[in-house]
Amino acid sequence: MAKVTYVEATGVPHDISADYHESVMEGAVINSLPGMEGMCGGMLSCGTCHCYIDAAWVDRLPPPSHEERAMLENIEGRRPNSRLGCQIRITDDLTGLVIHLPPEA
Amino acid sequence: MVEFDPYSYATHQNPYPIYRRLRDEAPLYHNEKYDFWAVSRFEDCKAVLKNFSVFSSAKGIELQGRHDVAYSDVMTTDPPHHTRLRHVMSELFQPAKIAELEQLIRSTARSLLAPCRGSGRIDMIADYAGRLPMLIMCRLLGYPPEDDARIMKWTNDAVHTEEGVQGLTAAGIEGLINLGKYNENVIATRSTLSLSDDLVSHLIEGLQGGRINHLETMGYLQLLAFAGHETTTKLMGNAVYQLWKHPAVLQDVLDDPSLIGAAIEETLRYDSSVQLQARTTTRDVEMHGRVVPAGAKMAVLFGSAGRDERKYERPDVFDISRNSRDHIGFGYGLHSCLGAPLARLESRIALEEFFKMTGRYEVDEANTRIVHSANVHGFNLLPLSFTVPAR
Repeated sequence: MAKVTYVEATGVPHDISADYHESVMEGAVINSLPGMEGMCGGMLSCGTCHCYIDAAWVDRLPPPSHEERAMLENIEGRRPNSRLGCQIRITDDLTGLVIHLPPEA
Repeated sequence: MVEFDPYSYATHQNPYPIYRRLRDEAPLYHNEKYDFWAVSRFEDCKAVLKNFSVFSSAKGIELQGRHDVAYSDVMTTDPPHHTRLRHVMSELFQPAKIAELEQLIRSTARSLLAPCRGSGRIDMIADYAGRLPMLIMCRLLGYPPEDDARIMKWTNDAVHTEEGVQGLTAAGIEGLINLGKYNENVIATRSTLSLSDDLVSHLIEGLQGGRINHLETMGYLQLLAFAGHETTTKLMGNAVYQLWKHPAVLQDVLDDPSLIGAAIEETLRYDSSVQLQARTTTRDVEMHGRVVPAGAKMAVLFGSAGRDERKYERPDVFDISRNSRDHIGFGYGLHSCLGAPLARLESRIALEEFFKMTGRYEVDEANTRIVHSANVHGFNLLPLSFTVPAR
């Protein structure tokens, strides 16, 4: 299992243990973290699991698919390190990953 | 005092006036006869669906609780089991993967429409929308296409409720038992064959790899048989019916078929094929100044959430220019419909091909028949006529 850290927009960090290879979206929703809604449950249909990947980790993740990039283009607050949390599975090799959550809508 | 009876045939006919009264007069409603609670406002529905540790799915999502022929599946588990089960299939239902099915869905749709093309008459459900999703699901599961009729009969029987009676009918129980036997046989047979790329192969791979157990595999197969058509069929039917009720909107859609996707989203908000799902409270919880006790059934009224005037402007207007996916017609959050990308694609193609054939059409309203179910809302029969172009 991987241990990852979510950082709220206010700066508060949360260390999470991802025991079931959940996605970045699921990890936040299961732990009721603010700033990640995950409305469509991970079906790449709503864009409400937008988050920012810590600079040190951007290139270490599998790159976004064409469909994820297309959806990200329409997201407010998008930055070069933006990703959709539902498209990143927290595999064992991602221990140490840091995810920055956007402000709560 | 407002009364909401999900087993009353009058409720099934038109639940929306009752929902409005629930939202206004009893946002936390308790039904003493069947001993369940209900939330009806959009934000309350969302809050219940989100808070799985208090509002659990593990005791089933039906008001009447679990029956003997039920299995654990993605709909009846909470994290972490839910997460594990969902990932067995979630990759296969991503929109890009589902998009590969476009040609299969279109050619199946055309072959179903072909016999009706020259007659000027079609039953939207019996001839078309009731068959298309199941044929596609049989194909995805690797089942023989001729099995679609009996699987549909079993699931239709299981969904139907008798007036004022909570729970399955005798035919419904028999349907579930038959479906269970069928699925046991599928697992036994397919486990001995080399695996391919269909859904059953992925499940058996999960089973053999220890990621899911036998009962969970049975649960998935049962769920796919239901979810594979019941709600998608009703979604297509409800869209065609609502467009007929709103002729100006229908004309816009006929003039510009790219609006079909928006019409489907609006149908999901305005006249959702899933009206109700239940959760079970794991502890006492306070809502609207009252305490819902631990172990209580809580109904989440999806159909009401879509009409909540606190959420939507002019909620009773069928308006496809909203073009919004901001509805809970497919649920919300972790339990949001796994098959939504498939349902969206099937519905869009089904309506594209249907409108190409019919142009404007007239529903034979006197001969429609609705499904009677506490959970599912839509038609079992939706006969209509259209003008056959002169040759």
